[in-house]
Amino acid sequence: MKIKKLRKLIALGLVAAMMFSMAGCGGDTKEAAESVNKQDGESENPDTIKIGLMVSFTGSGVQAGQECQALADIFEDIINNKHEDINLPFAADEGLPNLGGAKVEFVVGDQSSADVALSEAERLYTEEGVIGLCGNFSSATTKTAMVAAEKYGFPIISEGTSMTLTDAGYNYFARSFPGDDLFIEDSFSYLDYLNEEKDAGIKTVALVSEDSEFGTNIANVEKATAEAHGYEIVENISYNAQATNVTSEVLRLKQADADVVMMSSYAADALLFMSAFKEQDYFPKMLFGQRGGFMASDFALNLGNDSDYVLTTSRWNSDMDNPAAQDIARLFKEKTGITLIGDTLTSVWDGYLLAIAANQAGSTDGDAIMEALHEGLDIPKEQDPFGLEGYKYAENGQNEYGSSIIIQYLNSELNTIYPESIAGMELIYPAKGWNER
Amino acid sequence: MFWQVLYEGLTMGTIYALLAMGIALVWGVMNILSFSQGEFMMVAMYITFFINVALGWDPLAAMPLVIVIMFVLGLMIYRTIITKALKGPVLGQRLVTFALGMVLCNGMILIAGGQTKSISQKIIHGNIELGSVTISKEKMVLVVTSILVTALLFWFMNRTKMGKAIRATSQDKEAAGLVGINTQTAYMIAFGISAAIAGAGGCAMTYYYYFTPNIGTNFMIFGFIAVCLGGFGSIGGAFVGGMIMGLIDLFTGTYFSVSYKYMAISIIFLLIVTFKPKGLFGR
Amino acid sequence: MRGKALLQAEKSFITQTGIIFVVLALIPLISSGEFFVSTLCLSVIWAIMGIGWNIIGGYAGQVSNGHAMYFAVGAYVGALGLEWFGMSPWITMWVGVLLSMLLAFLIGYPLLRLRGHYFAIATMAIVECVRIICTNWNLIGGATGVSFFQRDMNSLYSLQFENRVPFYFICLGFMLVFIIVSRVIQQSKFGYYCRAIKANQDSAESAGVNSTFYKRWAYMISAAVVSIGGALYAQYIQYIDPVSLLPLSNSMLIVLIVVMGGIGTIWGPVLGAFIMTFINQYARALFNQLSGLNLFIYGVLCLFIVLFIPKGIISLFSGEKIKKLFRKTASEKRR
Repeated sequence: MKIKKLRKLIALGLVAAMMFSMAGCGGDTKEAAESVNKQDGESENPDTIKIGLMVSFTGSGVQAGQECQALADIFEDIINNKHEDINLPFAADEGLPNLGGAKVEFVVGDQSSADVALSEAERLYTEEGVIGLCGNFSSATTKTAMVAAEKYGFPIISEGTSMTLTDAGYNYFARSFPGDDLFIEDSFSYLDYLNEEKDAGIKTVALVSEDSEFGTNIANVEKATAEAHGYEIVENISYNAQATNVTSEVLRLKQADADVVMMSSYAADALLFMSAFKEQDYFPKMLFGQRGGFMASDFALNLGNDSDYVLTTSRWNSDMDNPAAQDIARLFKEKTGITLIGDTLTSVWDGYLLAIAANQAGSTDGDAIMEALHEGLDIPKEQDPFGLEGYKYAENGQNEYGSSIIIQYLNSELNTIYPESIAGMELIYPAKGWNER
Repeated sequence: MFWQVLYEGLTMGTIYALLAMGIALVWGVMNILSFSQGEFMMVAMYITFFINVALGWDPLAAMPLVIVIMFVLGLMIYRTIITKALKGPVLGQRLVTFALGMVLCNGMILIAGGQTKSISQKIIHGNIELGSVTISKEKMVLVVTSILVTALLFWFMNRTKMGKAIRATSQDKEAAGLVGINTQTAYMIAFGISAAIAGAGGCAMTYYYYFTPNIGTNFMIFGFIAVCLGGFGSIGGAFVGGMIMGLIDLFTGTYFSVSYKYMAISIIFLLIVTFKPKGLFGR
Repeated sequence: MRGKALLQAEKSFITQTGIIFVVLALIPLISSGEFFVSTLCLSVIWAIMGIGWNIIGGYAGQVSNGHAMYFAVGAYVGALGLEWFGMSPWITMWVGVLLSMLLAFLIGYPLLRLRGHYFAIATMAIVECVRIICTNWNLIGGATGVSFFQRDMNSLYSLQFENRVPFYFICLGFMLVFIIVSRVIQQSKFGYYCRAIKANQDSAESAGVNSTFYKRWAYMISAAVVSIGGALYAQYIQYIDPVSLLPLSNSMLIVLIVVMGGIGTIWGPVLGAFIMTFINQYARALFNQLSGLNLFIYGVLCLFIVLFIPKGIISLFSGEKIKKLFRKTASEKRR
């Protein structure tokens, strides 16, 4: 009897304590958040400004998320401490000069699903007091995070590529690199270029895309663009990324035997496709991936030389002849032992851009930062790892100077092949079959 | 093309069957719907991977060791968690395995990270061309393992004393207890064996699959459907159910539509249970 | 005699409900951190879904692992109504309810004959079908989902608020309604027959209970309640797609919430929803340095609760002086 009562009491106490502490903790941090968010020009500058970094804690994006966190640590160090030898903004001083030397801190949030992204965006802003969000968002998670951003008025720089993002009329959305439309337009222009200059004779295209928001959008754009460029679509496959096997998909592709197979996949399913290709002894003449799994670090790491000849569009590549890019790639390799890939760099670089914008605006206010983004960021070209013409965001949030590149795997390394001005290698076409390797 | 699809369908079927047999055993013997079977497979894959990295053993060489490790792990999980859960309601038992799956999956993310892993050097690799059919040797490893496991399981359940005891317990626990069978041991061994099956399956799957801690969940629902198709608790039924699913998967995927192949499996399953509510071979 | 006892029970239920709702309504006035209020909203929405599932799973004992479907139906109807016709969720949620009940009627026909694990797996298979249909059906947004962020509409009309507090009160209102529905069902002959079916379907049938009829109605009512939860959730998150609405984990979470809280009880789903949502939301914030740690801890907690408190957390509060104690705890734990 007594024990029973005791148990009840303990349980009660626990529940009460939990609710108490959470309510309390909500209250306290909110005040803290308000004091940070209330920065207007006159008041004192904050000691640290926080930037939200949204990554996946669970599911298929864990690895990319861990890489982003590692890179964010590197960026924090570069901004907050003196590094004379690194070619990046703020490296030479400590902190952000226009904000009284404020330090930058990346705060991590979860975006492994759409509802989580909303909760976490709200939490990062209201509890942690971040000035804005960046991260390896997908288009779907960007949409829910934007709900919070629009409500509270803080900027999100996201590389969700769906056109639905720029069409939605969000006021606080920004994207530094191209959307699907440009990536895919570039891909097909490249095929045109190959046909004209190199006599490649590419006529037929097969489209393969995973069936969530990411792949479906790409497939729709690909279909329209292929038709506009006069390529025949011989197969259009939409598959589930959680598939247990993709053998039927590969059999269909083998039968269609298109000149180019264009794919959009996540990491695990891209690998599954590669092993199914090998098992069916089939490799397309050109396997053209649209970022995602085809440039995840897992891809080359697991496939080794089997990854050769795969093409993918990208925003950045580690062989770029650019001091800032080389510095970051070296630091990242030293820290993690993994070769830095474009998607990771862009996700965290967007956070860097937020810091630059806040510094330029001299304020941590969301509207002021957005204004700075719309006016254009002032980044010396040698300090920009991407070597873009500039960062000036249009009304719909798209950076007007964002551009894409095309890269190809050879000897399990990524090599830039297009545009030719920065190319480190010639395209190899057609790809060798499995037997000839 | 047709023969290739048929062959691939049967191959995929054996993979589903490997998963389904473990689920069928636990279901048939102790009436638990085990949500963690896919995760057991995942854990076995990672054990194989760690052995491969540390000792350089090929998955085939490591398989006996992995099976033993998984068997012991199964016994431990039974002793600590399942015995306790068996005293509670059926729904609680199911949720316990679901939570266990969540713990194993995220625990593995903590231990090994989210990176995709694979075994780089395998003894058996390459393809055989047989007329118009391309046979992947890596996948053959899976097929052979699955058939061997099924045969062994049949032998064990029908020919050995322990197997007969397990079968008796699954049919009528009280009666089995009365004739002097230690039902607790029978349960424990059955659970251990189902984990060991996952061990063999996971080990063989490293030959073909790249794996992350999330791979288990992808397979789970198909394992369930395979067991249901065959009829509850019947190991042979689970094997046939897996085969049927593999064939539906490949044939609808190749000749009809890839997007709807899993829907075809689900719909055929629903149709079968509508007309035969206890599965194809249900008693 | 019996009537008097019943009246007494009604009275104490009313005071109990009153106290709990007053306390719940007061919370945002005491601490109004936005994230905290958001978590409260989510808790209430999940509580509504838990209450709905409890009717079929708890009272009638038919464990459905596929209630994410009705959740999605409610969310989709609410979202599309607003996006296409500018119709208020106040109206469309009832369309969703009707649609869910119709679906439940049709699906229940073959499925409710299945027993035990078969029923659970069949419901899972149906959700898988619905997910594939939603993904490939471009008319309703397909994989791209539906984004229906409305700036110009009246908040009360579109149920999309600048501040979460009014939305919280609306959700709370719905929860109150469904708590009463749940109570009425529990106390009625209908609930009594459901429990008889749960205890032993065969003997209930031989005693003359039309089990098909009662199971079907319990399933339909349950679907209707969950669909309202889905409609509220859609307005909470303001973007829906098949990936976030229809994974197996959503269906399982509904079951988990009810079992954690206390299956077959009135307040169990509410308690479960609050505890699980708070743990989930705050674990993510607390353990954000290591990926996977938050769900690992969440899983371990679930394991322990199911193993050691099989009747749910609510059972810790019960005893001979159940009402008295519960009244005390209710006011204590949510201050």
